[in-house]
Amino acid sequence: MKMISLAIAAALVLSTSVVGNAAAQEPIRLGVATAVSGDAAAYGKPLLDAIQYMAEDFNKSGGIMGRQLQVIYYDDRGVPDQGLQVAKKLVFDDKVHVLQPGSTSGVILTAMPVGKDGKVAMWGYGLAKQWLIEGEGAIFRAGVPEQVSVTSLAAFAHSQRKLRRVGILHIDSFPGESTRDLFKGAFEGRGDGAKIAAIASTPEGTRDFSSQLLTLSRAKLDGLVIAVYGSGFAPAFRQARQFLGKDVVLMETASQMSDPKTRAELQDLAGGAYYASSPMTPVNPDPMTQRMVNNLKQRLGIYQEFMGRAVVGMMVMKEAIERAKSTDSIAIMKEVHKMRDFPTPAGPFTFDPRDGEGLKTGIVVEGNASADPTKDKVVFTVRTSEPIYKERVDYTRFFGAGYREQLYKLHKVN
Amino acid sequence: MELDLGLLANQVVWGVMVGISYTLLAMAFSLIFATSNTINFAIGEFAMLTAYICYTALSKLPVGFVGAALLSMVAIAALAMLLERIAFRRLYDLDPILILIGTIGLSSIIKNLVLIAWGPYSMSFPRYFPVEPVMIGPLLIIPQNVVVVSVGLAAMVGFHLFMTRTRLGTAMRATAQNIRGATLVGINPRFCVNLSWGLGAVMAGIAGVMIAFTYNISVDMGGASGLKGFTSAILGGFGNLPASMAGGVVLGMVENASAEIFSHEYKDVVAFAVIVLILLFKPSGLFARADGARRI
Repeated sequence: MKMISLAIAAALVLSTSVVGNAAAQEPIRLGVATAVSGDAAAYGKPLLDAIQYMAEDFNKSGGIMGRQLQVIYYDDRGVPDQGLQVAKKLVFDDKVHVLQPGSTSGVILTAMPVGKDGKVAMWGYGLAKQWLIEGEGAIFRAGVPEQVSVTSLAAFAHSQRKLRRVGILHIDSFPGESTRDLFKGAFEGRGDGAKIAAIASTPEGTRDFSSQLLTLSRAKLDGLVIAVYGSGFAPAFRQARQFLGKDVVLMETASQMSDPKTRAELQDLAGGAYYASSPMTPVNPDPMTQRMVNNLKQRLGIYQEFMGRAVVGMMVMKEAIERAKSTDSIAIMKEVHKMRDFPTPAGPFTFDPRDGEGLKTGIVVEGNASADPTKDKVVFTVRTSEPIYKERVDYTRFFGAGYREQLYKLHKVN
Repeated sequence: MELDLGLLANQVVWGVMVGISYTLLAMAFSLIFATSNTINFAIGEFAMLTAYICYTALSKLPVGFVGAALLSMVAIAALAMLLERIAFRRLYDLDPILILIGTIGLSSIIKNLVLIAWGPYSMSFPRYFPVEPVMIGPLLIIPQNVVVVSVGLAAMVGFHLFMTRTRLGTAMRATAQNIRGATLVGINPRFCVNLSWGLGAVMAGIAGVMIAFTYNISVDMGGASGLKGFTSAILGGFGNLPASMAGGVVLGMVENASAEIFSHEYKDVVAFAVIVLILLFKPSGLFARADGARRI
């Protein structure tokens, strides 16, 4: 009888170890909702390419915690309803451990609640603040928010170029109005007589800015921020030079000048003009950024800033899982929340528990007088440690009462 | 609100400059409508296509800007005349609304073909003139725009002389006014209609190159420009060439002046509100006779 009991016990131990070993070998599943068709494919496809490149790289060097990383993706077409379906499939059918719920903020906003319901750790690279605040700590951002880029440009205009009378030409929809408000607040907030002396708006799709620029020309500006996007940008820029003269400093906030096609269209007009950017621009001389840009160019034949966001997301996710030694969403996100100065190609990732942001380094690039944006230079870098929104992230639902205080204490913030 | 009269004067002058390109497009609409009773909604796309052809000719052939512009005008005239001959001539007996839908279809085809051939990115012509503005009293003038406007005005004068001083022009005017009468005196109305499509396309093409030279070349430039041209033709008087000419300039001035007086955001709204008022109170147009007689 004793022998039988011993045999059963041995068999049980053996079977447990077999099961345990199998579990250890189970891949970590990363679910990716991204647009590989439709208008948003211009962002979604490069993001997916970069995620797959990084997964391959991780797997070649031993995976994450010794487990392979499996990327499961579906096309969300950049459409929120489709993103919702994709997120449900990834979370409840494929049972992913980590979710990247969409390549645009609109899709993330719709799909993210699925990840919250399914208790899956998440990261995203859209730049709207709503999904980060509504994410309640269950999601982190792998991009540099507009608030950081625009305020960097305002700081540069004020402290480096000593501009005091700046005008804004913006489109009359959300992106233009948001840039206007952010720049105005950041620039005038620096004091010393800094003033937004004139603002002119324009409907989207406009090419003739003569009436706006005539109004702006009367304000005796020393700088102009252009928040006009798409095919209207180059005409706006050219006309701004024509109407305001060469002494007015031209600035823009969406890195359009870094696009080779736009630069070809601008010809030599970009010389001496400035644009705000995330540090993941190819002209950032930081060795880590350069290594990333060169690797991606070599492997994928192209580098775009969106790809950098995917790389940062993958790096932070891997680090958090390895620190947590678990695929439990709460454990992973708690490790993300603890991160301080984790090096990434977008600057150090330091989680700020107040606004939920991790990347707060903005840079300003000076355009050169040629059609080649790779010859541009980074002229200003600024990193903020202050919260960039008034809203505060509420962690109570996922991480329990008292967690916020614990995080604030850890990061020494109020 | 205090009104800055110097600024208002500048806005009006710039409105005239912008209005010249509307005028050429309005003339294209009116010319084709007067002879063939067709509202050709592909006019804007003719303008866009000409700009692309001109850009390509300038990039690929050693012909210079003037040579490239002339080549593109010949190409667009030939294309328009061919389209009239093989596609639209057989539709003239149908309900005009069907022909109008046909031209909307043509506009969509041209736009998509351009997208396939040239891609989605916008482009710009090289700069031939200084960027810096020149101040004449309170007026801010940009040399490049003065040249562009002069070309537009020269095209309008040349076109007017062609229509009034040549036998062919007279034949086209006769066709527009009374097609049966024109036939009775030995004019070939089919040829005149065909030629009006070609000349209309050239007017649109000149406007397209002017717009491209001033702003940029992009696939979506035709839609917005065409709409402004159509609006100008209604404002002045559809089917009446001198009235359409005036309509474009007035529209440009109204737009820019309203931007200064009200708001930049509402300049399009004000322009279209003026059109609604015109259609309500003087449907023949501001500068055309109330009997709606066609005059080119």
